[in-house]
Amino acid sequence: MSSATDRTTESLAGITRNWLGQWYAAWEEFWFLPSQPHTLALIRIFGGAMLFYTHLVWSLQLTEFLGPHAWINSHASFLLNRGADGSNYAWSHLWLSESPTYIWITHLLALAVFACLTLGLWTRCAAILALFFTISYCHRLVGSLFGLDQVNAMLAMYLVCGRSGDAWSVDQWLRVRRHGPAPAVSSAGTTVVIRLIQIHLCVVYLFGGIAKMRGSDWWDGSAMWFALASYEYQSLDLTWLVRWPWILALLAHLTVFWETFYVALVWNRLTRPIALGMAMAVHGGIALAMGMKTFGLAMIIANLAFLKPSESQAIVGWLCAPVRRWLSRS
Amino acid sequence: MPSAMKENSPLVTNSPAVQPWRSPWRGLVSLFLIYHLLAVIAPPLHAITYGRSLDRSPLTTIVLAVVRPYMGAMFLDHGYAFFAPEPGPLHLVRYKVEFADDRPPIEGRFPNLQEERPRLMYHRYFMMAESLESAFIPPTEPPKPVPPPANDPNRLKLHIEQEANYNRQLSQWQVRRSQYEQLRRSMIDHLEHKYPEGTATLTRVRHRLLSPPEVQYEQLRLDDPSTFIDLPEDDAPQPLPMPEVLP
Repeated sequence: MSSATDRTTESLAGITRNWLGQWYAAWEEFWFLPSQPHTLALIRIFGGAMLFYTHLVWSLQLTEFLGPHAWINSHASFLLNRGADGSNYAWSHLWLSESPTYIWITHLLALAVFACLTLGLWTRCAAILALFFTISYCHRLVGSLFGLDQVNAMLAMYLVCGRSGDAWSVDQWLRVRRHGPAPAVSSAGTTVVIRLIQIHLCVVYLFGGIAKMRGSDWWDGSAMWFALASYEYQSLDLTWLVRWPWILALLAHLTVFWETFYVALVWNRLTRPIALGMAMAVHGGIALAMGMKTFGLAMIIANLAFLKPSESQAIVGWLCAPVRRWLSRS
Repeated sequence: MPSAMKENSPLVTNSPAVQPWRSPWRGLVSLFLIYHLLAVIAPPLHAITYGRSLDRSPLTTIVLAVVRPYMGAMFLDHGYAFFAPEPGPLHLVRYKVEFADDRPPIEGRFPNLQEERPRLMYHRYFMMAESLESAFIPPTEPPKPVPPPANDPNRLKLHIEQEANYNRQLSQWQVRRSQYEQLRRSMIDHLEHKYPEGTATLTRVRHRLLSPPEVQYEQLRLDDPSTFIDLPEDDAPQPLPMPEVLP
């Protein structure tokens, strides 16, 4: 009797050990299986360009938003960063001085950093500084931010790690010139970064979907009408769809379903193209109809994290083909 | 990695040059990843876990407190509730700068698509108007609780709980009211600096969304003047729907 109990206990312990071992192996491979840098490099190029454009636009009214008499001055922005309990962990180099000279010098430096990140010049250094400037601007400019800034900050944060400069970069071009061609290095750091972007994106969509499910208008389909009838957002008049309420309802239901289940659909190789295709459609629609081209594009850039490095190479090859053809002709 | 997961993995590892990490380093990174992901998940989880009283889940409140310093420093405090729980009315700010002499007043509003270009700049002004509205909290302090009946056997316990709850509400009201007042003051200061010797006033304006029948049968335009409603600065009731986060 006693030996039978011992055998059962041993068997249970073995099953548990085996299960934990599988978890450990899965964790290790999910996060640390080295991967090639092409997808991360693609995100660096487009994400860096979006960071550059976002901050370039601030240049048009820099002192209106950051100067001593800004719409939201330093003191107000500092207070807005306080939580309901009064705590404040935000920081910004833009709180150090409101002098227009200081603001312009640091702003030009930030633009140079974003340009370096996009081009892949001194990439690691540029990525660290890009994160510093991006978060610094976000904390200072609280009150005039929207989803674009959240995605920008997310990409800037993750580009600090990983070897995004190992492909399609000035750094790589210089390395090849000095030492000759070499294969791209697969790195665990690159995998960690890609996984973090993927999971962060899943969190964004999952909670976006759940939050919509708390409202009644997304259930009866009228939310899509109200989104399209938001005059201040509207860049394409689609109110004629009022005659086909079933289309509006279909779009609303598809949006909620896709957003909520993206977290599941995107990990399976069969449903991944559907999840990513829907992302293109939804964010493309937001960009065209609701005037948020930058936000739509930023979300599409983040979705690139689900491309295999070989797929990223194919995309870049396809994008560069016309340039190559033109160069060979001339 | 289980074979199915490996097969589905979007990563390719057939490069001849590989840089794996050593085990202790992977362990440390794993611990950091868990903490980081907690900081990513905690804010949106906290944002949606509210009930009828609009009080948040005590569990997510604790988790949020654990990650708050990191979350605050890394700009991770987002609910991601875009156009949720439902698309609500939009908000604008109308301003007027008046002068003591006989100069005509300067009036304007933001966002204004005619003045703010490119579209991204327009969105900055749009979000500023929305921020002023979402920061608004009436100028009256939350009401003091009614003391429990004298014959209640748990009177002392209830009284202590009520006081603690009231002090928490009062402290939150003070933080939010000071945020709103400072934001409003800052916008007024900006206008008065831009137009010297002028006195600026701001009005928050709500732009009501039209229902399908109003557009289809009543032929109302989305920017019909009747859809813009001036919002009061005092405690007058404001027809506010559920909280909504705009992208």
